Amino acid sequence: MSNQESTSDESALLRDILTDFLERASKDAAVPTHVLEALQKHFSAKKSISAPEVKATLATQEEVS
Amino acid sequence: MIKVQTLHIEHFRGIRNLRLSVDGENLAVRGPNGSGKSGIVDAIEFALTGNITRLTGTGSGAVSIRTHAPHVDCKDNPEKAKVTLGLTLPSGTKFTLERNVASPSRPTVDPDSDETRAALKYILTHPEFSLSRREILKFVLTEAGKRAKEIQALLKLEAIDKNRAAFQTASNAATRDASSAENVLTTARTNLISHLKISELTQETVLSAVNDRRTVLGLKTYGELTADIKVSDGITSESSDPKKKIPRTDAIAKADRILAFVEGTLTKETPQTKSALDAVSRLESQPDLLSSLSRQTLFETGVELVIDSACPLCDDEWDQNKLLAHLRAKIEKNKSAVSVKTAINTGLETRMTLIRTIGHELEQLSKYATTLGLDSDAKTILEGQSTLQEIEKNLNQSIDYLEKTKTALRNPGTLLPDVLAVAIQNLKTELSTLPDLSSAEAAKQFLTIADERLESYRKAKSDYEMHKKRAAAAAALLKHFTESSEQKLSTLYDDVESDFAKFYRDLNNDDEGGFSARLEPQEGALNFEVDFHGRGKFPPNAYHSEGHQDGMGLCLYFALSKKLLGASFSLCLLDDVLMSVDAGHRREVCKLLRAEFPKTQFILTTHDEVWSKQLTLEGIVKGKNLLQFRKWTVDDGPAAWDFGEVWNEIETDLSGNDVSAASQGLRRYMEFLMSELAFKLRAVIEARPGATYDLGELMPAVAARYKDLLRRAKAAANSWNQQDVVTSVAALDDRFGRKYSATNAEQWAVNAAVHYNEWANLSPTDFRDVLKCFRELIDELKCTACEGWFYASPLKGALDTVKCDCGQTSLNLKTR
Repeated sequence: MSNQESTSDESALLRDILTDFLERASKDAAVPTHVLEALQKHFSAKKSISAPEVKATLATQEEVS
Repeated sequence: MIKVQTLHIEHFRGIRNLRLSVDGENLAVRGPNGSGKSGIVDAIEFALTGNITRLTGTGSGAVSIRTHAPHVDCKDNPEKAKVTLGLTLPSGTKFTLERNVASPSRPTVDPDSDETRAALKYILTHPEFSLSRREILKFVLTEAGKRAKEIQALLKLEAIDKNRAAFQTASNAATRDASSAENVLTTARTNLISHLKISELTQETVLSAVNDRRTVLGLKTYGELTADIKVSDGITSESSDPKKKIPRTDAIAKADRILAFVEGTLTKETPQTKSALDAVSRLESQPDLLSSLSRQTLFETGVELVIDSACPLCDDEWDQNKLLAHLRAKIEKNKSAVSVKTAINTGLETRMTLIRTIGHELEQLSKYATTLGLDSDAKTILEGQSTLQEIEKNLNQSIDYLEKTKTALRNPGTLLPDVLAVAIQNLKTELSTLPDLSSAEAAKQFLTIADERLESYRKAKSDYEMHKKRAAAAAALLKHFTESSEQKLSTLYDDVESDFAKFYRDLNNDDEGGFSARLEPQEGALNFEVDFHGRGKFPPNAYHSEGHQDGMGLCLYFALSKKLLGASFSLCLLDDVLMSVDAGHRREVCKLLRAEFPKTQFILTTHDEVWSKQLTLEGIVKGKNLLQFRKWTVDDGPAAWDFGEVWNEIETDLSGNDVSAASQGLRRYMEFLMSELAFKLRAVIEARPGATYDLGELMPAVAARYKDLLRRAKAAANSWNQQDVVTSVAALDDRFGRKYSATNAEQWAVNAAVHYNEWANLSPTDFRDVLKCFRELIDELKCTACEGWFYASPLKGALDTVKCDCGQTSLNLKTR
């Protein structure tokens, strides 16, 4: 076998992706701060998100803007 | 991870009762089609996971494990269908695992410890250790979107795709909401502009129109239009006569517009409405398109609803990933239908704006009719407004209302009842009898209505801005998630791509030594292209042969497994995966298995005798772990080439005076055995393309080879001055010669009449003599201690020994 790492801990890859995603989103003016905070909170609790959950995080922007 | 030591299968699939001991080493099962080979792979998969992919995968239809995994005669007793595995873990822990079909989710594990349970739990999350040719090929031949899902499922990356799909769905919904809000804003703007009688909506034009009326009323004018300003502010006295509140000129203008709408002179054909009408025609001429489109909303809604592991309606559990993949495949398939729907909706949108405006005006005219005492007309006009609302609602599901859609695109006014025009005419007549309002009264009405329209416009604008921002945020989230996942997946796929290309080059170094490949994630799909002899990169099925595609599937699976499981890739079941690969390339597969996966236990099935021998020759499978099935019956299941069992069958035939069956049995067994011994002793047989050799060719060749080996052994013993060995080898040679002569085989080539084909004509007594001769002959070719067949060693290259497995027989062939 080579020295390549196995992805058997597949959540590690997903965690990397989510970290990078939130980092990119935080630098984008199109993503309001509270949407970002809602997503950070969501992904700290679980690694997957559904469309209604994304919609709910987007809806938070009116409450604070 | 887990390795299989022993296997006991009872009443499972086509197998009645089969015990195997493989000692954690590779196993090859060879037999003709329908001999029960795949039953072994199914049994191991079932024991480890409780599932049988072949019975539950795509296309399995009404077949189920509970009903169809038991042997057909035990279909009503699934508890009898069971598989017991003896297993070991890397720690050395041994345990048994028993699972029966009646309760596949409750295996018996002994010892039942945290370690053994954890090992089973791990393998449950990695059922990809068992694959058939069909499953392996799907990584290569499927289209990009589906490939990404298959490979992500193998790599346990579904959550990435699920998240991306969630962002995609949310972004689509936000864009749709923003578009609707924009339409509402357009209508509100049109109504405001229409009322203010201005050509464009700017602060200056609004202030000018408003301040003109406020000046008439002696009210202060505004220098700027702020959000909190009410343009009717300051108006105090209102007329007590409601008829005087009706803006006569404006109302008549509205009535004229509605009459023009009904007559069709208000609507003109645009490029959008023309495209929409073309799209409707396509739908009408292609019922399948219409049918799939009508389900598209259902599929899209389904994707949003499948967020848990059970149905929200009945709570029955479902395979969430499988269901999502199924729905997304449907949505993907419907893409062309969706473009038709988009064209229709774009055309309809221009009509919708007008319909909404006319509806709003009908509502106002209805109120005026009531004020003027035209109750019946008021009711008709209000019904007209309801009709337009209904049309608007229906057109949102445009595909279900193709006729009305066509009419709406051509001339929506004809959708209104004829009596409406009469009612509007009546109202218009009554309106014309009203006295013109004084300029002060008209200014008051103007400002009051302007306030309403301005408020509507402000709200619509605020809503639109909100939805626009939300859509922009949703699009940004989708973009960033897609970019992040593609970047990370690219790194992962780079590793897989590199291993895949190396494995494939190893297999095809004769003509594709420069092979390379590209695996590239792109918006939820996974593009896969391979080099074709340096002429560029193409889809794998574009130019490569089926055999090469089989090889690619296997290499990609190995590369993915290496990435996914690393050192835990300890067990791999491959069910007839290389059927299109030629013998030369299969030899390279053996080398690949040995070089890259020396610690993986492979359990392979094949119908190909050459491939099974290659596996032995290349040291992938030890002789004792090559299981060869000769036949299968529904009553007894598969039967291996077992010496005692074959002899018993022949005796049974003879007892029934069926010499024909007994002679056929002897011939088939001798052909199999001589073919095996020819391989083991490295006998020389005339090569023919695709040859199937008969007993008349095989047996003399084996006998000649064995005698040649004994001759070499004697020469070697003489050179080493081992007279005792010379004597014992000479005795072997003499005995073998006599037994061989007794079979008459030496005469076969001389006199065709004296041939095994004549056995069927013998009496049972005479055939028993023949049988005795052959039994005594083959006894000379095996060890009396271990009963293993003699073989020449090594199996290729310069010969040095003739021996058996236990070592009791070991004849040196090398001279001093």
